[in-house]
Amino acid sequence: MYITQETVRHIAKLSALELSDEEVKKAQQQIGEIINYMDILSKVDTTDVEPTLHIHNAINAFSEDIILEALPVEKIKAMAPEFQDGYFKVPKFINN
Amino acid sequence: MNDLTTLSILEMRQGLVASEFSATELTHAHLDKIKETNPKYNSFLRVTEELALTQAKAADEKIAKDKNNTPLLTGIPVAIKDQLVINGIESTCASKILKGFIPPYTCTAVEKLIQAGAVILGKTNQDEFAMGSSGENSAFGITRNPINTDYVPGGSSSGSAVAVAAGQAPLSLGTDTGGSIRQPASFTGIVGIKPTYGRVSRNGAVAFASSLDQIGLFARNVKDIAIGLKYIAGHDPRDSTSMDIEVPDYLKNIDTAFPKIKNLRIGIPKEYFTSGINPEVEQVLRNKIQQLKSLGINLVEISLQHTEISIAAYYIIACAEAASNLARFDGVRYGWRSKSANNIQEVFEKSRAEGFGDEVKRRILLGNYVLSAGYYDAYYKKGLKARTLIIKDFQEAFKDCDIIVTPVAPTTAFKFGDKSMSPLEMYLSDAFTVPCSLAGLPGISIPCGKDSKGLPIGMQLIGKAFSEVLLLSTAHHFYKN
Amino acid sequence: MSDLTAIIGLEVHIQLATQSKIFSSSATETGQAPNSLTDPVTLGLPGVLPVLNKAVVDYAIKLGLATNCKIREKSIFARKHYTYPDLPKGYQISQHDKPTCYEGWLNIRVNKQSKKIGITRIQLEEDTGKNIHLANEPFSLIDLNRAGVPLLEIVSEPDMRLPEEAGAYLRILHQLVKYLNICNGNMEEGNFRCDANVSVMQANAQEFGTRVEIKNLNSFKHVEKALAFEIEQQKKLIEQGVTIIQETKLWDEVNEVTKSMRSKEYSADYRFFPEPDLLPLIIDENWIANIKDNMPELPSQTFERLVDTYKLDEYSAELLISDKYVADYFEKALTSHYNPNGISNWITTELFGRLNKESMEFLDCPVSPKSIAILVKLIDTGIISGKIAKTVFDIMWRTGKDPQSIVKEQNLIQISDNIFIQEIIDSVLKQNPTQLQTYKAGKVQLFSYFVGQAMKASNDKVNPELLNEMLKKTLEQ
Repeated sequence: MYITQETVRHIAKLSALELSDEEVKKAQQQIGEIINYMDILSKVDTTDVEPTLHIHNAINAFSEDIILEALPVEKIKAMAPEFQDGYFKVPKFINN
Repeated sequence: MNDLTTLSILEMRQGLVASEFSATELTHAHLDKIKETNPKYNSFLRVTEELALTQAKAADEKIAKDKNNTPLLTGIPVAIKDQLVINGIESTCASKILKGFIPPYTCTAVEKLIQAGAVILGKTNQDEFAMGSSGENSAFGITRNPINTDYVPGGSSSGSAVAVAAGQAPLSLGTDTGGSIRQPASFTGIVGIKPTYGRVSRNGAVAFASSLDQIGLFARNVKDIAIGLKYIAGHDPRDSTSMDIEVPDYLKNIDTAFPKIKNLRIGIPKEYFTSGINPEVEQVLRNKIQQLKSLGINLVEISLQHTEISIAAYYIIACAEAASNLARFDGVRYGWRSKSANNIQEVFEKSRAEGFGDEVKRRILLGNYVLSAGYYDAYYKKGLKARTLIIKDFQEAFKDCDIIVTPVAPTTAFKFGDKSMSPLEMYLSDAFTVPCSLAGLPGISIPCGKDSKGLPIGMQLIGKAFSEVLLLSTAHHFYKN
Repeated sequence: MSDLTAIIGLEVHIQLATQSKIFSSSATETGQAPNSLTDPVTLGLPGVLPVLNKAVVDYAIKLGLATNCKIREKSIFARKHYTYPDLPKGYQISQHDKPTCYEGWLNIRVNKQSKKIGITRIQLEEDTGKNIHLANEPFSLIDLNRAGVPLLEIVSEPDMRLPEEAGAYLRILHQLVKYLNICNGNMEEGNFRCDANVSVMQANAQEFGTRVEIKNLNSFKHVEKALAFEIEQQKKLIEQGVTIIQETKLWDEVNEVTKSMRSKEYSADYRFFPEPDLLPLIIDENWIANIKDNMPELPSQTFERLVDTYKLDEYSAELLISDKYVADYFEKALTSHYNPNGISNWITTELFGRLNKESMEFLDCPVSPKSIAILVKLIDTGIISGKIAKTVFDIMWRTGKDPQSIVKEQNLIQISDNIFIQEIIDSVLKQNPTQLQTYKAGKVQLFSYFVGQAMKASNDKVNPELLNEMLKKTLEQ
């Protein structure tokens, strides 16, 4: 499968990753090579094979509907790149 | 005093309860060793000296008070992979995007070690976000193999492997998604286990691929692994995929479980000895297997016919889950935020571009590619179906054998830079460890010889799900002989 | 053109009134300090895992049963990916192709016609945080208290044709979730949110037209208005031969128009895949039976009971079941005084009127069911007149006192003493000789004038029926 630069840019957008033109070219080559290799899967017939979502047959793990202690806001503030009046602070959208 | 850093955990325990040395002295010995050797190996990203000495002091008090009622791990130093978070201690996953991040909670497995009296020496280096097989993908410098520092220690749990191999710690925690414990254990000549998926809680292990990740251990002998596993295993209400199955006393059963089964059947999958394996590695492994016949085992040739597609299935599934799991690193709530972002889109895209290394970016792109509209069925869904076939292979094989023995890696440790040019080539070197991961089975790597350059060769033993008792006992007997 | 038909489907999101969040143990309250109801899971910190709150499943089954849905034996959670600052993990845990409830329906009534509206699916998911955009500031603020609050997304079939049908469907659904006690139902606080999909096609067409999604609809009235506006607009465009484009619009409630949202920079490719951190959810028959056994009465059942047991007319019964609290209030009142019609009238006229006037919720009504019942009892036993009762009610409302004390304190007991009443009648007639003459000359309408004068003279305390009777007799003499 040949991957175009346009595809790489689209995937980069979905991935929220800024890529330079150089990186797009490199990714096109490397990901192309890997995806090409992945096509080895088409060798096997999986028509009647169920996909595996979970390894074990475990089901139904629940928590009870109870409130436990919240994380103190000072700790959140300490982790945040920018914090103001108890809120995370981010620059606006480009459109606004 | 003898060099305390070469002792096994049982020997350390003996010394501690016999008051031959204190936990504080034991900790100092390891801290000194780290100070002396870390500049060479770069295996620790952070040494938590103050915490370690506080914990050692508490351990000494407990031992003084009632030594016989202290857990076996009381006062035993351990090293923790940076992928596992500890409350109040910087945890970065060896990524720039988490530089300076101080988590407000502790990983369940680490918490259990602390509860058992273990002494936390520090956080170990690794491939960024556990993505890599060489230790070269750390944002904070490569980790070197103590056997020969020109060679890689393997990855991704590079630092945890090196810490144990170099005597910086007798026991360490790592994570294994597709071989990240077994392969570096093999490259550094020590023992490493990836338990059954669901045996150890993943809570607090920063997720790479949720359906494959499992916390495991490194040690210099199998008994020490058995001791450590008992403490970290078990159900955790915070991880729905951790199974509510009783945790046996692995150490107690280690001498008996293997001999109890007369003529234990060892399966040798023919697909693991066909192409791609280095002849020297193959020869050493075959010799060792023949030698083991004296233990009264039966060798059975088995077939794991979908081995060929495991790498493809593994990288599709692992990258898809990784792309999703790493979406949370967006520069909004914690971690790196780009200084040059002028709007929210740039906060996302620039912070991630600056914060993630090349391999991580590559896997995020790959993962989003296989999940995106138009490719989902051809890759992601196909990968899940291939996984089913690989699981069935093992189910079939285990009808004819009790334990499967394979090489851990097709080669011994390679030189730095050797493979970093082609990502695909690097991925292919995981061929012998990923099938076991895809099937969620327990796998252990034990040393079984060396190549002509003196580099260690590992043997992988794979057991049925939750058969760690037999797996450890067998590995113990194999390693001893 | 009259042969154009609108096709309406609704997506409703209800916040569940559980104690804690869907996948963690922080509280779901509203109105708390920003980011004070969070934990490592809510914040999407590295290494955390979701664990499903069992109560959320109970609530989903309840609603599923009440909307005649099938309950799926095995549901799977999925991750839905998009990048937004109020979405902590970069994905929302939701359900995708295996929602817990599916293929249900609700009956609505519009213009006395009953109509079945299909429900495609009800799925469990988590709410996002809140993005606060400040005017004239280059930044936004993010509060994650709401992140992880459990939601049920209820997707209807495109079975509605008129805005009033959409309104009726929403009211029925709203009433239902309140009856089930699974959602606080406050639309302004966002407990009950609605997005509408609407398209217009030729009445006899085989395929639906291109649909437009309308967001930001925070009251039933706005849903109806927005749909009416959008349908008119689409009809006009179609008549002009303009092609409708599929897009998302916002309802501007100030100008009462729908407006195009600027297209998001991110293309919507949600990359759904099964959530590996959560196990399959298996709901067996026992679980469903258990929920069934503990189901509260549904509005339709209450309606039938009110009509059958208390012989209320359908209109009154409909009013009483509009809100679960009202029906409960009504039945509670009956335990103090059994006059279903009398109490129903007082609730649906005086009480509703006052609540409307004061823009209050029924829950905040300051008059207890017992007080209303006693008030009706005082009327029924002739102790006070209906007119005095309104005065007493006003005092009850303002002071919270019980009606008996008010009647006593204010000396409002009705006078049924014949001698006293006769004295008043005589004195009124004496004081109004001209009117009396005119009356006797044949202007019988003046009768009510005398009644009014007599009531006034007694401070409204005389028994009006007795007064009427005695005045008639006196005038006939």
